[in-house]
Amino acid sequence: MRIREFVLIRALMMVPMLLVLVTIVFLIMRVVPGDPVVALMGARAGSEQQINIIRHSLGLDKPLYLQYLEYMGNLLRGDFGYSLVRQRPVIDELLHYFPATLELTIWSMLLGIPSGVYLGVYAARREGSKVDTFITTGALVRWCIPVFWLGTILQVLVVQYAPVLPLSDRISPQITLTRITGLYLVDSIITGNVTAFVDTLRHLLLPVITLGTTTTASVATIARANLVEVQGEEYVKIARLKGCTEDQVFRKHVLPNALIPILTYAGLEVAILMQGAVLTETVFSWPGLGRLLLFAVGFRDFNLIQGTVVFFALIMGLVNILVDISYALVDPRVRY
Amino acid sequence: MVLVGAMLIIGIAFLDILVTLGLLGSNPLVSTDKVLSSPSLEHIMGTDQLGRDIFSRVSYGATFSLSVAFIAVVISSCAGSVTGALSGFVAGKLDRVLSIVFDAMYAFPGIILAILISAMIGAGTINTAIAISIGYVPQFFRVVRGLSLSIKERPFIEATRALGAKASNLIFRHILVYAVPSIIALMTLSMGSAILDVSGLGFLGLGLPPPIPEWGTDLGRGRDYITAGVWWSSSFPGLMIVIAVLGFTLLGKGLDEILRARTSPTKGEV
Repeated sequence: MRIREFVLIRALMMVPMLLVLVTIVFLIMRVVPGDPVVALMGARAGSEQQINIIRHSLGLDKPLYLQYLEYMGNLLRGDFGYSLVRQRPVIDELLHYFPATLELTIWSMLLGIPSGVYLGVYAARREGSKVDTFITTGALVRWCIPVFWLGTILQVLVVQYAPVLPLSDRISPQITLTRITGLYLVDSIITGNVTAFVDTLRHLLLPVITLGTTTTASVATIARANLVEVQGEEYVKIARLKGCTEDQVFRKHVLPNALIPILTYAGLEVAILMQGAVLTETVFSWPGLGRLLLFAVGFRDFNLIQGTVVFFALIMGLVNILVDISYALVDPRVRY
Repeated sequence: MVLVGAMLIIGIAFLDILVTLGLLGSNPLVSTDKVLSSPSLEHIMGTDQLGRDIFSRVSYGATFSLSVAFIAVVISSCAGSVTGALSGFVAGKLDRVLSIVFDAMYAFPGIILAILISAMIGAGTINTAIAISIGYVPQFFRVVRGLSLSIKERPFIEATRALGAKASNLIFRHILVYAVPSIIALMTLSMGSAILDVSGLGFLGLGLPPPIPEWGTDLGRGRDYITAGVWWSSSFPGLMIVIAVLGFTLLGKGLDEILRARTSPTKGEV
């Protein structure tokens, strides 16, 4: 089966998954004990009249199936609703804050995956040694550390020992940068703005270390486990019996077979990073989607909450398709 | 591994009990004048912004973080396991639909789901537990469904069926019982994640309401004073989270290894 057909099939399989996620969000926001508007507003709900006005403007007074059809129809057209608090379409808010989260996530992966693979390989080659135990235990402990605590500790250390490093935000307020993609590093390269580039790097440092090391820990654990397992496989033993050097065996048989599963894991890792991003963005006052969600929740903005969560779900779906496709490209056995 | 994990958990429980009974530390809920004092002999972890002893708060707070996490794990394990056993046993269309639903949920970031649910159903112990539990149901579903599929063809199930057992009897008294060790191992591991989720929600201000001394909430509030050089109000609650999560994770992984050693005599070295 050729790649094109595989991509098409995979994309089609993604549809039910996205449908489920989007429906779950829809249901959670409407099928709550009591009335959604009252539930959301809580103590801030105004008079009966005000609640009814809000309910009507959100379309929550229509029968559920009608709401669902409208909701799905709108989503297909890219309409995520209108934010009552921000007074503009939700999609505008999403597109404005998405690049910040994207930049953070990308750099965290760029830090996490290579370092994780390196540590995993290093540990596996010295299986059973003290270094191996150290790395494995270290990864385990790192998994147990909440991302918001690590970020906080880094900030504490910076305050104590390196007061020049920035603690929050993406860029210093006095620096001007023309916004083209929304990815500040890219934009500063495009516009040739060296000061902005350096400043952005300084702001990225702590958040990326905080979030990226999560990936390092998981990838290292998986890489090591896979490598150890592959080392015991028949074809590896045979390669050695054939007379291949250890290096050849490692590079041509062990590594490829052990590391390809990490590709699939990368897809799952994006979900984990998004999760971590919500917390990391709070710690570092990073103006991304995570903070937008919390803002929406804090202000009880129904459409903004709904839109942000749906957006997260859609990104997840997209990333999963991309990962599956790349997996098929790399591993010729996977083609249906 | 099981031992180290168990010791960490018992250690925390021990401190918690001692402080709750008033045998150690001061009252975690009473404000004093010694606001934001650094760690000393009297207050080994310092005091917070209302003058409360952090050591006492952190020890007593274990009750809350752990109980919410526990409730969440119990809810998700029951829901996921029963659904999984049923789905695997019955197979067919129901199984396909449920599998798609839970596969979709599996990839979704748990905290975002928890934030959404928490926002809609409000704060409070049970509500927070429910919000968190939804994220773990797919894992239990997957594991128990797998076990259900693999053992439903076995002779002893066939024999029991021949003896006239109803489907409900087969599912509950045979399949689920067979799945119990795996479920317990998964529950223990999930406790680690659940504690991270509870404290995460608390950190964001969405979990248990103040003045409950939850680790995440205290960490979040303690962060306000970092730039003034106050490191203890945020560091120690976080440390407790790490120790607790580490305890359950080690325990869970240890149980997992024992399980694998028991079920496949050739693999697994404990």
